[in-house]
Order: sequence, then C-alpha cells, then structure tokens
Amino acid sequence: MPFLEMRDVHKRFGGVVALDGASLSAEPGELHALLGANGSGKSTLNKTLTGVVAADRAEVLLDGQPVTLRGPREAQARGISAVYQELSLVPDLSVEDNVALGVEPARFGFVDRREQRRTVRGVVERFGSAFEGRLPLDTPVAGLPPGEQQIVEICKAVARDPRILVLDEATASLHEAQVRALFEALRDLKDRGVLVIFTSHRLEEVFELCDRATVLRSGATVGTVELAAADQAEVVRMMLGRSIDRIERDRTEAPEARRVVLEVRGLITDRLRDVSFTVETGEVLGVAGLQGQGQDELLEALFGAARISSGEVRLDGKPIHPRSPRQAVRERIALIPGERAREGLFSRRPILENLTLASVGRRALPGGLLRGARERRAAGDAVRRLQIKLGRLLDPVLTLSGGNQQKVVVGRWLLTEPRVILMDDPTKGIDVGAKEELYSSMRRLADEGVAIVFHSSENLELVRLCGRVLVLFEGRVVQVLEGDQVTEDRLLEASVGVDQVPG
Amino acid sequence: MIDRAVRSLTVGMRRGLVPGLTVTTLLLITVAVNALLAPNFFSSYSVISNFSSFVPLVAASIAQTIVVLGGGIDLSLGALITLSSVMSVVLMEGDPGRLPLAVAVAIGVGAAGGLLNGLIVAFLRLQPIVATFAMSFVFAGITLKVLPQPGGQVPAVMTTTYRDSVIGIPVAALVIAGLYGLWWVVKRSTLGRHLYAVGGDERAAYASGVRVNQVRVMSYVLGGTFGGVAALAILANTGSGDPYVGAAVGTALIGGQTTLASIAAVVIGGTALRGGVGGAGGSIGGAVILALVSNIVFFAGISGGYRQLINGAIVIAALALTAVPAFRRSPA
Amino acid sequence: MGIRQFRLIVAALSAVVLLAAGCGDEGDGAAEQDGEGPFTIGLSNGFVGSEWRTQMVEDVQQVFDEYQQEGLVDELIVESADVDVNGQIQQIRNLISAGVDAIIVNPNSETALNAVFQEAVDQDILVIATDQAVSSEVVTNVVIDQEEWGRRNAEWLAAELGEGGQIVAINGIAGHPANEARWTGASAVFEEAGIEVLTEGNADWDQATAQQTMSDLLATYPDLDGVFTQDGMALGVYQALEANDLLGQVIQTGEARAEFMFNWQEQLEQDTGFRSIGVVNPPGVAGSALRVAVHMLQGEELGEDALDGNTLFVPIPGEVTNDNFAEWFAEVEGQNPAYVVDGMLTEEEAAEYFA
Repeated sequence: MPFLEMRDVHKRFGGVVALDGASLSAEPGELHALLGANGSGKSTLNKTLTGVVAADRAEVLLDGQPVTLRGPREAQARGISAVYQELSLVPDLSVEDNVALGVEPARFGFVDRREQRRTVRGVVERFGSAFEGRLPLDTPVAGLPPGEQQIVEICKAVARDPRILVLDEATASLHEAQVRALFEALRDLKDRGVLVIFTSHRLEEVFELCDRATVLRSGATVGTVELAAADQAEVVRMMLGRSIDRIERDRTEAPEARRVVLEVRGLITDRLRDVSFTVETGEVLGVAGLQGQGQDELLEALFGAARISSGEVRLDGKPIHPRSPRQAVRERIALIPGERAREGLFSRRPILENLTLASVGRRALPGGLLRGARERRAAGDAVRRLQIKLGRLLDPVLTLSGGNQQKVVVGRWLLTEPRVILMDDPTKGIDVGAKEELYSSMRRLADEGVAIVFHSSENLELVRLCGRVLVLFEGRVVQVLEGDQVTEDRLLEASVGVDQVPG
Repeated sequence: MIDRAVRSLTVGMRRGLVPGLTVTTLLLITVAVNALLAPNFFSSYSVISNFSSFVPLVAASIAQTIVVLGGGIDLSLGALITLSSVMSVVLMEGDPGRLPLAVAVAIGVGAAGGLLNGLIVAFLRLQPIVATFAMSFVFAGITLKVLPQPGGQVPAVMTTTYRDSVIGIPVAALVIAGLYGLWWVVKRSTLGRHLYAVGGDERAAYASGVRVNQVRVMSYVLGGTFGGVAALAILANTGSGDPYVGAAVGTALIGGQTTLASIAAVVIGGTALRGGVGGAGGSIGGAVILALVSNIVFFAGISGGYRQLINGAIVIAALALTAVPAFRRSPA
Repeated sequence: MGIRQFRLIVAALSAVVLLAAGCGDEGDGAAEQDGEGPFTIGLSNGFVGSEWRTQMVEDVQQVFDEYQQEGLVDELIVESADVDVNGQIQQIRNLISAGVDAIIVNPNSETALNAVFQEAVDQDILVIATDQAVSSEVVTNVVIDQEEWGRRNAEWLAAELGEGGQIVAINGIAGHPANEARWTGASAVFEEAGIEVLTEGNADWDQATAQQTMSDLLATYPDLDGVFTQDGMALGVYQALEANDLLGQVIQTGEARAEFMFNWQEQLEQDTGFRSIGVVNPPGVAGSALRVAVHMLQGEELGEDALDGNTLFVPIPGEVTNDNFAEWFAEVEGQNPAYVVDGMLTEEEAAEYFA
C-alpha cells in the first residue's frame, strides 16, 4: 500500500481540460519527480494535492485512507506543504513573518516573537549558503532578489515540518549555489522520511536529484520510471509522445541582401557601460552573460523602458531616442518579456484583447473605433501561427497553461509587424515542446527579414540559434562570439570573465 | 549605536508601530505652525479642547486602518458610527446609571455592523467598496428610524470627564493613548499578523493556510468595534445625539464626512489603500494633522472655503512623499 | 524591539502633553463680559454651499460695520466652511481660543453643539444661535419661527384649493429640525382645512431631486390639485409642472428667491393664471442676532415677553404673492438668480426687545 496515492484526477478550467484522469503514487523518503511538457497538468496536479485547486473529481489516499483536501489549510494539517511556481509570499512582510505565516507560535492569541524567531532561524540557517551567508530575517521579501525569495518560499514549506513537500519549478530562479543548498536540504529531508515531489523543466536536475519520475502528458499519466535506469531521451519521448532531434545548429547562413537595421553606439545607462553593436535584417543576435549583468537593462533601454544617459541608437540609419515603450512600438520595435505573469498579460481579460492590445490602433477606424471582425481575424491568425491551445478567444488568459500564456505575449507583438524584436529570456519556464515552437517562430520571423535581439539564460539556445552573441559582464560587452566560436564552453568562459584575466 | 537606532526605527515603521517619516514631518509642521498662529495654543483650555476634537476622528481612522490593512475599505464607517451613537444615546437618556449599558451598546452595535459588512464582503464576494457603500444606506436608514430628529441627552458625568484632565494630562489624550494601546494589542496578535498577510497578498495568505475569509470578517468586526469607540467619543464631545452629526450640512449622506476624513487620515498616515502596509500609528497622526489644519486655516485668517482644498493638497503631498523612496528603489 | 519603540512613543507623547499642560494657565483668555466695549464677535457658519449663507455672512458684516463706526465692536472673526458637526465644534473651540466676547452661530445641529456651547459659556462668552434654534439652555436663539413659515405657506395653499383639495408635500432633509418644524406647522393647517395630503417625500432641499420627485409624483397622482414645497426646491417643482403643462392647474407654494421670481414674472406677463406664494426666510436673521448680541454684551436684559423659553422669534419680513408681486420684484430685479429676499431688525426694533 503506497504512502500517497492519487487516482483518476480530473480538472477543467473554463474550456481547457487540465487534468484528464491523472494518477500518482509515491513512498515516504522518496524524491519523486513530476514531469511533463507545459500544459500537461503538472502544476494542476500539484495544486490538487496541496488543496489550492479543487479537482472536479479525484481519489486521494494517504496511508491508504481516502482524504478530501478542501484548501491549503486542510492539506497542511495532513502534513502536505508546497513551494509554488508563483510565489506565495506576502511582499511587504519580513522573511521571518513570511516563513511563519499561518503557523505562528502563539500564546493567548499573541504571536510569540521569541519562539518564532528561534524556529524560523533554525530553518533559514540550513539554507545559509543560499543567502551568501546573511540571514535576512527582518528584510521584507520584496527587497530580496528573486532567487532568495524562492529560497524563502522553500524555507516556509520546510518550516511546516511536512510529511509531503511539493516543489513546483522551485529552481527556476535559483543560481548554482542556491540549487546546491536546496538539493542538500532535500536529501536531508528524504533521509528523514519526507516524500518530496519535485517538478522542474531542467531535466539534468531531475536526473541528478530524484529517484523516480511520473510523467504526465495532456493531463493524464503516461508512466512512472526509475531514473537510475532511464536516459534523458527516453523521458523526453514520454513527455512529448514523439522523439525530438538532438541538438543541431539552426542558424541561417547570411543571405546576400543583409543590411544593418539597428545600430547602437556608446550606450550608457545606470547599469550599462559603453555598449556598442549592430544587428542586421534576418539576424538573431544573442545576448549572453551570467544572471543580472545588464541584459535586461539593454533590452529595456532599446524599448524605451530604461533611461539612457548617453549613447546613440540608429534605426535604418536614422537616429532614434526611445523614451517610452509607446514610442518604441511606433518605431516598430517589440519587446517580448520573459516573466509573462508580471510584465505582459492582463490575466483576467480575454485572450483576444491580450493578443490585439499592442496593434489595435493599426486596425481601428479613424477616431479609434474597433472593428470586431478584423480584431477576431487578427487574433485568430496569431493563434494559428503560434498554435496556441485555447478554449475560446473570449476566455480570460488565466485559463491557459503557462506555455500558452507566453505564446499570447509573443502573438501580441507579432501582430505589430515589428522590424526589431527584443526577446528577454522568452523560454524561461517553458517546456521543451513550447520552446521548439518558439524557435521555429523566431526562425520564420528572421527569414521574413526581422532583426531579433535574443537574450537567453540558456547557453544551449544561443548556440543553436545565434550566429553572433554579445557576452555581457557587469554592464560591458566583454566579448562578441561569431560563427563557430559560439559554443557552450566559450559562452561560459566569456560569461565568467575568464578571458579578462591576463595569463 | 546610531545606525542601530535607525535600523530599529525603520523596522518599527514597517511593522506599523512607528508612524512613518512623512506623517511625523507633517505632524511636526502642523503643530509648529498651529502653535505659532494660535494665540493660546498651550493654554489648558486649548490643549484639552484640541485633544477632545481629535478623539472621534482618531478612533474612526484606526477603524478604517484595520479594514484597509486587511485589503478592504469601509465606506459605511461614518454611518455605522452615527448609528452606534444614536442607539447609545437613546438608551442613555441622560441617566449616569445607564452609562455602562450605553457603552456596551455603542461597541456592540459597531461590532455587529462590522460583522455584517465582513460577512457580505467575505462570503457574498462583493467588492468592499460597493458592498460597504450600499451598507452605509442601510445603517443610515436604521439611524433615522432610531433617532429621526436630533435629541437625547448624554449624562453630564460623561461630557465633563471627557473635558477633564488627570495630573495635567487631558482625559482625551489618555483615550488616544489607550486606543493606540488597543491597536498595539491587535497588531501583536496572530490575527493582526494575518491581517497584514491577507491585505498584502490574499492568494499567498490563502496558500499559507491563513483563514482568509475569517480574517476579512474580523477586520470589519474590529473596525466596527473601534467605530463604536468613535461613537462614544462623539457623544462625549457633543453631549447629545444627532443623526446628521457626521454629515456635511445640506447632504443627507449620514456619516459621509466622517468616512471621508477617516480615509484621508489613513492615506496621510502612510497606510497603502491596496492593503498590507502601514499601521494605525500613522493614521492617528493623520487624524491629528487634519484637525490641526482646520485650526491653522482658521487662525491664519484664510477663508474657510479653502479648508477642503488644503486638506486635499495634504493628502496628495503625503502620497507624493511616500512615493519618493519607491521611485528611488531600483526594481530587484 | 517593538516594546522599546512603544515606550519611546509613549514617552514622547507624554512629554508633549506635559509640556502643553505646563505651559497652561497663562493665557486662559476669554475676555470678561464686563459690559465694556469694544467687543470681539465670532461668527460660526458650518455650510457655505448656498447664496443664502453668503447673504447671511454679508448681513452680519454690514451690521458689524455699523457698530464699528460707533466704536462698540472692534473685530469680527468669521468662521465659515463646509463642516460636519465635529468640524463646527472645532470652529467654535477656535473662536473660544481666539478670545471672542460673543459667538453668533448658525448651528449644524439642534443638539450636538450643546456641550461646546457650555464650554463657551463657562468662559463667559455669549452664544447666540441664529437661523436654527438649538436646545441648549445657555444659548439665546434668534430665529424666525419656522413653524409659522410652514403655516403661512400652508394657509395660502389651503385657501387657494379649498376643502377637499388633494396635495403632495416635497420636504427637505428628513429629521432636520427646520424641516420638521415647518411640516409640523403646515400639516396642522392642512388637517384643519380639510386638505388631503396624499404623500410626503423628501428632496433634501435639492432642486434637481425635487424636479425628479415631482415628475414621479405627477405620474402616480394624476388628480393632484396642489404641491407644498420649500425654498431651494420650489423651482424644481415648477420645472416639473412646466414640463407636464400643469402650471396654473396644479398650484404650488414657491419661494422668495430671485430665480423663482423671474419665472413667476414671466408667467404673469403672459397672464397664464399662474399663482404662488413666497414666504420670506431672511438671511438677515443673523444680522438681527448680532444686534441682539451687542445689546446683551452691553449688559442689557431682554424683556420678559420678548422670549419664548430662550428663543427670540423675529418677525417674518413678509410674503410674496400675486397681489403684491410687483413691489417685491423691484427688490430682486437685476440681482443674481440665487439672491434671496432679505430683511432684518433695525436698531430701533432690536432695542424694543430690551425695553
């Protein structure tokens, strides 16, 4: 009799079926991965287990006893706690208060601050190396970098002393040292008999950490594998239901008619130091570097969202002064942000509106009146080109899976017919299949003559797609790699500034 | 030493115990200007009467703060306070022996009204701004049923004690200190913590196992309870009942003025209207500032018509000032 | 940590309070009511949203100027703003702190200012309430008799319609003392005269609300003979009747305000059979109050029959009807539309109360 058993789980959001008979079974003291492409239902299954989402139909057994989980409180009472993909931290509360939230030690209805500090400190200290040695107990979480916020979220789950710990894309915003600290803590929990359910889009991590994996596809469970006896290709095949080609270079050779579209000279902003480069029509120019070396700021500056203190930007040889996104859009520059939830989408508004928002002026009648049929046609076009999986165009965006939401953001900018597309780590948190589709969209756009500036935190992507990559380090372009120079090794070296050190 | 003090002060500000810099600055300025302009600002009459004027709005603004911190807003607050006051005064009939009963009734009516608001907001899932606005008419209607015309008599012991002082400290000032103490208790409770969490991010609080609905309901109940205290302060201050006590003349919007002033005080005090940040300490300052500004307008000989304009300007200034550091902070 | 801060705050607050208390007692400074001028006068007005109140303040200023010429008064502090009762309490406390000898107040509440009036009187300040009487026994009210105002309107309307006439009433704010007094006066008359009041509504002294209410009532009661309404709302009723082509058929009480009278004049010129009444509710009542105040400050005492309890009713200056329309119209012609027909006690008339 398994410790945890979920059977026949069904859930629908609006018109989209998220779970269609998924199942999962796991033992205590196990590191169990939950795998699947985006939209396969991983997050929903996780949330069903933690009581955040009420399944339409489900059978959940703990220690062989059927349980119903109405809300996170009940789940917690049964020893299930969770680290979510969207953080469940209250931004204005301190780290300590967040970790203790909902389980504050209390005496006569008052928070026992001393006891709270003692227990929270004990948990956070275990992750000490993830905070660069500090213990920021009094800092509001809004003041921490995303990676540390994620660690706080994990501390919070661990502080609840769970029997089952659910981690949903918990490593997405962590850097190496933080991932190490996390893995160590998770192995420690495993040794103490905790069941850890781990979801990550980084397959290597899963193979490194976990014992078994349950694979979901289209809301149903495909199977469970012993990871020690499986290889990555096999698991990917299970996720996709088809095999994908091994990594191959996917760059176009330089066509004859290439010309410079965007020229940047001596760009200086708060975080950029004298950045110069050009981009040509049909080119995918990569921007690489360690997290936070000015990549975001470069794209934002070109999009008019960050202040430029000096430097020159020319578009088709004509100087432009991007001061607002609105102006950038008028110059037909588009920015596709990576963090879809925060930056691009109006999650309660219909998919249609979200798609057509940036380009609505182009199709409107004089005076700004919209023509419904045209709007629908344009949106429908984007849905087809990007193969967005949706119920109805008028459903709110939040009914879509994560990968499909990201496609909506891309679709919005496609409809503005941009000459330059700036992409800010667009594949972050997206599954393999969705990535492939995004790559082919990029390819097609480049072939149409659009210039693309592509920032990615995954060097493999850059190797695959870019003929030329700028490597940033502390706001400077430390190296420009071209052609065969663009390899994972060279990118990594340049990113950590190896070439900068003489000898 | 100094930076330790600064750090503990900023921590205090964030926890809503110490009023923010903005409100402290504004408070010092208004007190200074007032002292300069008003001829007898430090006379015992002036001190006592000023503190007496502060209490009703101070209590109302603490009430509003609690609701706002929890992510709501109470547009029925003024009407509820008026209702509490007329219920209480009708029971008193000027009889000192009935005072305990009348106090209990004022507080009880406030809490019950708050409970009603809270249940509507939390369980009918109506937007607080709409639900409480509608409830303000319900409370107003009951108010007019209970006391259709001004009347009723507050026992003399209540009005005179309110204007008394104990070893040189006005009773009204002690009441304010007591209210602050009550807020401190709320703040330190588990409920207080959850109030901040729910107001800061309702979904996150829910996912953390906080009983969100219960917390929301309780925020209105606590708000109503402080509203009951505001009602008693009004009675002590006025000596009688009047259904239009908190309304601008010529409007039938019972308690409207009180509601607006309480929200203004909350904003000046640095509590974010989106919830989750701030505290009643700042709102108390905000309430006092609003009252002092009226005095300044009077003693500076500025036409009274400008009072609203100046109040508005102060609210905007307070908002602008608190926004400054937010602008400076670069996005993480 | 929090405890330390809390203590800090308490300490700081107490310091302020103690400082304040310590500084006390040096300037407890209301002037003595010694009968010696010149006197400082405070005016507290809690509502500025109408021309009536503007005229009221001007009338007080005018009377004040007259006394100032004579050297009887030296300063007039006007506190006029839109405030609720709490705000008006603060107004009055400020006047007390400013050391006035007398406070003329147009009160926002009949009862809820009593406590602050007591504070003033405790410091030997004379308090006169005007326009609206208050229940405090330490205050002298100088007002017109609102009950009589209602009665005179009602008597005219009853006479126009005769026994069995059917009317509706559109009143001001429910629960407002002036509204209640007027309606008490009027409804007694209607009962006596056999006029049937079909319904009573409240339009809060607002013209637009009154127009809407009237339109609704016309639809509900097609057999209406007349309308009882009050100042501020009469024009709204007029417009509703006009829109339904019922002017002259449904008889309404009116008001002695310029805009209403301009319309009235038009109807008379066209000879449409329109008739109405405008009982004067004079802003000058506050000027009359100042006259009474100055006499009292000089130590004079009101005669025994001048007072009804602690209220001095000044006479209503008159009423505008079709018969005397031309006379009154001369006063408002060329005035701004919000101007109200005015009137106040002369110095001689005021002196007679102290005989």
